[in-house]
Amino acid sequence: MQVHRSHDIALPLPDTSQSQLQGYLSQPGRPLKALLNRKKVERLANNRFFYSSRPYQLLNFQLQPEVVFLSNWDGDQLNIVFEQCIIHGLGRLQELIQFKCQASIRPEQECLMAKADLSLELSISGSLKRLPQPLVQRTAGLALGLVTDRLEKRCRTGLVRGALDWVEKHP
Amino acid sequence: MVIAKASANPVLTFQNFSLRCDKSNPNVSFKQPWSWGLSSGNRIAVITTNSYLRYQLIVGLAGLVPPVSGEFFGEGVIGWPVGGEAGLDSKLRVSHAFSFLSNVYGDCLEKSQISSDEVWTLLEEVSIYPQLIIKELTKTQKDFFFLALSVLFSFDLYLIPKTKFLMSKAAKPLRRLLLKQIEGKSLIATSTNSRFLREFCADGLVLGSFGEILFSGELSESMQWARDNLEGFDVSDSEDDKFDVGLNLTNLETSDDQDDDF
Repeated sequence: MQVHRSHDIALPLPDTSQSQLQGYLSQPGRPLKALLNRKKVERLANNRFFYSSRPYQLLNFQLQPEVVFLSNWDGDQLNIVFEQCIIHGLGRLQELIQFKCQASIRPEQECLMAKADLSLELSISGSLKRLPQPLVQRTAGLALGLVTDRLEKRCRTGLVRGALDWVEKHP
Repeated sequence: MVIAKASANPVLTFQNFSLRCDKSNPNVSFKQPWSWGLSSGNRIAVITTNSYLRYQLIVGLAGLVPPVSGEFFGEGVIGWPVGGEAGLDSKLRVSHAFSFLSNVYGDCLEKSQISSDEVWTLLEEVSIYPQLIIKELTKTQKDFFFLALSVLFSFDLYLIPKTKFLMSKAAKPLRRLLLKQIEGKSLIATSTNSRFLREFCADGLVLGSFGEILFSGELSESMQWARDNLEGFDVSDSEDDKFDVGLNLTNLETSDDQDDDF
């Protein structure tokens, strides 16, 4: 079973040009540290990063994802692809659940366009087999909703602030 | 009209849908797969002498076993079987179970005709308190608790398999709330309790042992048709299916656990 969620947002950045925003995004470490908790982002080799997320409270679970992701600037947009993700706190369910995420941030005139495609792949075996599928789907949907809510908040605060600060220093 | 090839306002649409019909043989399924829609607002009693088919229909629609072939689409939310355990772990406290489902089915709680306070009051009347652990409740308290949870949420389609507890004296206040909650909603029941059928269902769908639709119409007509034509057809006021909802959910021949998994 796969539960998918796609989320797009426009981040208005008044008085910035597309080329300035291109400059900001062209070094992935910059926007990523603004977007995520910089103390928890670790740069690895070959455009890869390790990130240990702040825990999520989902119903009775406290979930802490640890992610290795690849990030690169392709000349048009910044791409982020999760390569490995371990969700701590799921107990026996951990091996049955796989989280995937692909995101992009594209510069436009006075605006950044951010898009994320997230999915949870659930292997319906073991304990999950004994649960009604709609319940599993809804719970997975709630989990993805928590992630997109947090990403959106981080985009609207950290990323916007990071971009504006950088543009101000690089007029 | 209970069913239609292309219902204008279907709450449930079957497409080439088929289920197992014989517990001892996984290869036995519908003779003719279903491709039809169930009109919104219908309260249907599924009438068949094949108790395994009744069980398969409920667990199939609840998403607990996959169909043998095809699929079904629900327009809106299909509830878990009324009185079932909704996937809750029996090690949860009553309050946690309540809050888990309230989160997962928050949209159905918002539309509900019944308030959480009303349900908590009824639970407390039978000494079910938030801090208690589900597995420590008595059998009757568990039945009451799970029925109360089913009643609390507003679903577009209710699945009602067994009604022994629902029709008992102990469940009278919950029965009243359920009737209020399902007003204007759809319902599929496989219970054979005649008092329940009279109170909760308006239409009937008579099935052969291999899922063939033999008759559909008003409940009284359908029951009469079944009496006249189905060998071994019987409804009584003290029905109980021999298949527990939750029995052998995986459809594996080797699985024989007795968990109540709703």
